[in-house]
Amino acid sequence: MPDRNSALRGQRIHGRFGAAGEHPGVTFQEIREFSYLEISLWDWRRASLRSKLAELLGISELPESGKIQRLKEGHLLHLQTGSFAYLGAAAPAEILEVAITPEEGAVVPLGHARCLLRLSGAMAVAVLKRGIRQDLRDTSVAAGTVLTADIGGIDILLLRPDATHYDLLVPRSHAQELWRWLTLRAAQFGYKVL
Amino acid sequence: MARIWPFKFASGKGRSTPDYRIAGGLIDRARPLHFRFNGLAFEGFGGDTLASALLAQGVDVPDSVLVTRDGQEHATAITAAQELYEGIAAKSQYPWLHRLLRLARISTTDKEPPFSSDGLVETEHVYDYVDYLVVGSGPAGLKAVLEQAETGADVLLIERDFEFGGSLLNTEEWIDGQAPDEWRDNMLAKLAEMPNVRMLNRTTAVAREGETLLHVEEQPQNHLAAADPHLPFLRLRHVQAREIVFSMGKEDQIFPFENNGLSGVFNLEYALTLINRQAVLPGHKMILYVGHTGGYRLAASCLARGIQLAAIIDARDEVPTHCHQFARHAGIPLYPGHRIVRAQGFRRLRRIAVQKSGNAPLQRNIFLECDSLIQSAGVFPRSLPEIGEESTAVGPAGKMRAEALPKTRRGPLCEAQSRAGAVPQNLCKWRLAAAYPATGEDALAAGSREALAVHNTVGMADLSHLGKIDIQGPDAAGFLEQVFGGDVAALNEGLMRQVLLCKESGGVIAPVICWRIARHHFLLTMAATSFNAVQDRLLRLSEAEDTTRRLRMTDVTDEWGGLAVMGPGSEALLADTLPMSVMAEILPPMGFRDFSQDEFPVRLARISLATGPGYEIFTRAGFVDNLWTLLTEKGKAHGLTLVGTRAREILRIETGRPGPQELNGETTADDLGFPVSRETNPDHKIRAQLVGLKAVSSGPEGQKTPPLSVGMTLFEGDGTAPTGPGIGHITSACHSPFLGREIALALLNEGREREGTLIRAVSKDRETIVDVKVGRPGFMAHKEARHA
Repeated sequence: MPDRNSALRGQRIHGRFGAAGEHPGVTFQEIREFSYLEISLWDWRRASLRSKLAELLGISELPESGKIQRLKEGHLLHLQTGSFAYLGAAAPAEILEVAITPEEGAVVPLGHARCLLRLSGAMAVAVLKRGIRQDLRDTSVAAGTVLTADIGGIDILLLRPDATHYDLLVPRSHAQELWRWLTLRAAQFGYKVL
Repeated sequence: MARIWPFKFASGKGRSTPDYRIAGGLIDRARPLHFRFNGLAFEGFGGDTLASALLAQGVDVPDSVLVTRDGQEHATAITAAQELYEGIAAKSQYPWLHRLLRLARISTTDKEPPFSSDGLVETEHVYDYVDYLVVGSGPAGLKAVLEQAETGADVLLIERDFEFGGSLLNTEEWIDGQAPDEWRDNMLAKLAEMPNVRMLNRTTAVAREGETLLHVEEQPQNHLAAADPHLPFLRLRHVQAREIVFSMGKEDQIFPFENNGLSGVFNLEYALTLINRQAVLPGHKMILYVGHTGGYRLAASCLARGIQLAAIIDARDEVPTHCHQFARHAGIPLYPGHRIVRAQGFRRLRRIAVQKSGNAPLQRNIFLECDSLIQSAGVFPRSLPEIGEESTAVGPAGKMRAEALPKTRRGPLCEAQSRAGAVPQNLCKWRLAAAYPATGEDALAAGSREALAVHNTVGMADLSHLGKIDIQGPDAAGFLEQVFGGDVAALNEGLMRQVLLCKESGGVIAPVICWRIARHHFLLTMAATSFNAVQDRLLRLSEAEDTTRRLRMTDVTDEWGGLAVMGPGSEALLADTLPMSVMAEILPPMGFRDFSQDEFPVRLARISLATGPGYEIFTRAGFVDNLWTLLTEKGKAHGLTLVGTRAREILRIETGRPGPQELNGETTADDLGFPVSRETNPDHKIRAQLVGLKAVSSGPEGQKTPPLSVGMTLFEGDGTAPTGPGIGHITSACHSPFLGREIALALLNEGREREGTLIRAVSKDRETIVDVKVGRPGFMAHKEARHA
């Protein structure tokens, strides 16, 4: 399969920008190759269905709502009761697409509909606080948390897989606006684009 | 916010005695700062405000000034709050304007957003959450911060001044056995070491919303000699706290007397700040006018510095004995039970007229000479306006709403189209290619050329912005049948059908193409303009009637990019490009197939258009650029023309497909000419029906007909003068290069009964009248019609 074209083509320039300093406050990275599926299970209370999903992904238990479970090649996100998302390598996504039958649930591939941006660095959360109205303190958004949010009216999915970085799943058609917004806000802290 | 600043000044000439700087204070004399005011050079010190530095040199200053940077007006600033920095330049604004604004209780500083250069952030919002928010860094505020921080709570302290300390900065009273500045320094050092404490100076609370939300304002650039391109000009911080502690000190209540806004009249708290913090005397002959014992603090401060007041006027009828004793001990004349009736002076204070309080008639005025009057009728705690109260203070903070980003969506082909020379157009919230003009061609001419190419050879247009809703689940077919009626459930896999989404009243919301991907899997596509209405309607229907449905609807607009390949040459181009045959017998009309092209998935659909064969070809958004490149390369040999939105609009009108202009919420399927299974007009009211119009020339042969335009009113073609509301109106119009004439779509009363007749289209100003022939929508492009 050919490489997918970036939604930020012509916008994302590698380098160090914004305020000078020894270390950039924020580091941005666009993750280009990933699969993203949203999974809705019709009968979420059925234990056998939960077990099937967990087995397919090689985990013993599904994460609680709003939490992220690390997988071998990606992450399973529990978006809300009965609604999950898989983010990671292509192979498990292909298995899920086939294995979940229409009688069990719906699987919608949305990897191309999203742009995946990774923010790390000491001031990453300070940049996000300039657009996201939810409480982003560690007590509310601990490592292993996923939440839906919006920045300037654009709906995004915010993931904090671990304490070192945040991942933003951004609608592809809004990615350029959001990229400009993020880099403008990050300029005061100095930022680097990988 | 209407701030009533603690002193009233008018701009004017300098004061008579030049040196008002005294010993002591908290200014940094080792750090001289040079600045300019109204073009003249001055010097102040670190810790000065613009006002104190000017007052120290005997210059009267206005309430607010224009700060300039690199010769350009940068921002308006409150003179008494503007921190002095090396090189600051300021000038007076119009004093009469400030008096007017003051009367209206409006401050220009608060209303006007700061200036900004292109590309810089003017205003940024920050959404902050803390356990405790402390407003004001006086002794009570600092103690509250320490107390909460020691419990491990997350604490934010905000202070509007550039220095922390609040009243500690203008008092000489000791606290906990320490001098006020020593106590402040120790406390700040302690707090600075606590990781759970954040302290923001130059930050002003502007409005409260409920018990736990406070909007505060920072101006990060206003103390910088040179603009920092990375900082915003204004930062609005919306702080949600478990508890907010207000420790903002007190404000002076002022006495009402004639001319109390004269230059030289100060509020007590500000005078204390000038004397104790900035080591500036408000005047050399000062009179204190008080209504409470606390006001004597100023006299005490002056006494401690060896400064003599000219008099104390105490408005109370019964002045406490210790106040009498203090005045006697200090040798200051005391006027108990007196009030000031008038301040006098030209431009600035020269003397005051004082009377004994009471109602006795014909009291004689006592005149006291002075150059400054310091007054405080009483004190009241500072308060903040609440959101919802009638106040200008909310200003740009508004409610805790997010800044709205421009919502122009960009499809995956934006860059490719730009490379191909597209003229961009923002349409239905998407950035689209309007046309691809050749050298020397304008967008209008390009649109006509592109539309003609679709009739004659082959054209290709971007469809990525089409609204797309994926519907899956065992109940999907039943739901769609319920929504659209007809036999959607009977639609075979690999086929699609045009359906209409209607309101309960029968009014059409939008035409939709329903694709059956699999037994339990459908895709709906629609015009971008209709997407929100369709999605909202479907969600409402799915949730309202049966919440247990096994059904999932997902917006997949961004997941798929697409191209329309249209015209007689489309089959040949696709056959030359794609790895499978696209001959008609293999792909039936309104049929589609999925296959792989260079390892990426492709969905090819055969769409029947009145103008000839047409195909839609979709792939995942990240690969659509590859498809575009492939088709444009292969297309060179087929005479492929890139087609923008202008040409597509011409083609739409030619083929009679209703667009948003034709869907006014009342037009029914029947009105639009779609076959209906039930009576949609049981009352047999006169209804406006969609028709096609073609201009016919009524003038001399060869004379060009005037253009048809949207909004033209339709009248009978019986030769009578066009009066009254008419019988319909034009909803879409264009010049068809294919037909070589003006055509239009219109909503016409009893339109179908008028097919074949001639009527008149009349402009609003009645200047333009065009004879038009009525036909079915799309009749203009039919072969028969062309020959006719």
